[in-house]
Amino acid sequence: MFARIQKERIDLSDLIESTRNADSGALVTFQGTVRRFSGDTEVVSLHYEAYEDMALKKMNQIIKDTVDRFGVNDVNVVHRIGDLSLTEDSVVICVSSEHRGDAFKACRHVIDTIKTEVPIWKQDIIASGGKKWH
Amino acid sequence: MKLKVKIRYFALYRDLSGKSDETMDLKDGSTLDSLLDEVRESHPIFRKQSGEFLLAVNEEYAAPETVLKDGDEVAIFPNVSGG
Repeated sequence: MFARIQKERIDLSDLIESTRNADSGALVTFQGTVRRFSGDTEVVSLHYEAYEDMALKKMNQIIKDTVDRFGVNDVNVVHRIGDLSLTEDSVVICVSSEHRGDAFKACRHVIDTIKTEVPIWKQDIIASGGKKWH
Repeated sequence: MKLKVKIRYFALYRDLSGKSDETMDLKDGSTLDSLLDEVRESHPIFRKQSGEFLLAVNEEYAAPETVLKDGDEVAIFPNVSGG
């Protein structure tokens, strides 16, 4: 189980292999990616910022709570900070469990909780000029 | 007796305050809420801010009535938007 915050691109296959284990028959991955439109606003990229020490602490708490609540075997999370181009992964969550039902539910729980509790913010870099924090 | 706390601002609130951190001297027994009043006093632009102020002390979310201690690190930031 681990949580990371990094500027570098996320190595998806490396993360999946880190989560794979012989006790699990299901491996579920969620990728949050940078999209072109934020509501009606066209963006060219996103900038992510974190309160890193607290964000890591919160993500590790979420991982532990998720393992306890859903009984899954492993949960790993990597979140990007810095400038991200369209289509890049901003966050990747990998969950392994004995059966698929728990893995899907746990993965959904992790991303939903990250979005409401972890101190990370995104800023739109707008195509027509300017920036806007969410 | 006075206490000294470090305040960190993030995202929009760092842009509004014009700084990422500062230290502030407070009276003994000061709460997060009273700190926020001091912050609004020294950065009047926050008075116009209608968004939520999320507060953390030493990297844990904290309620406005939390009593601060000397050396605490307080973080002030808007609603999170990661993912």
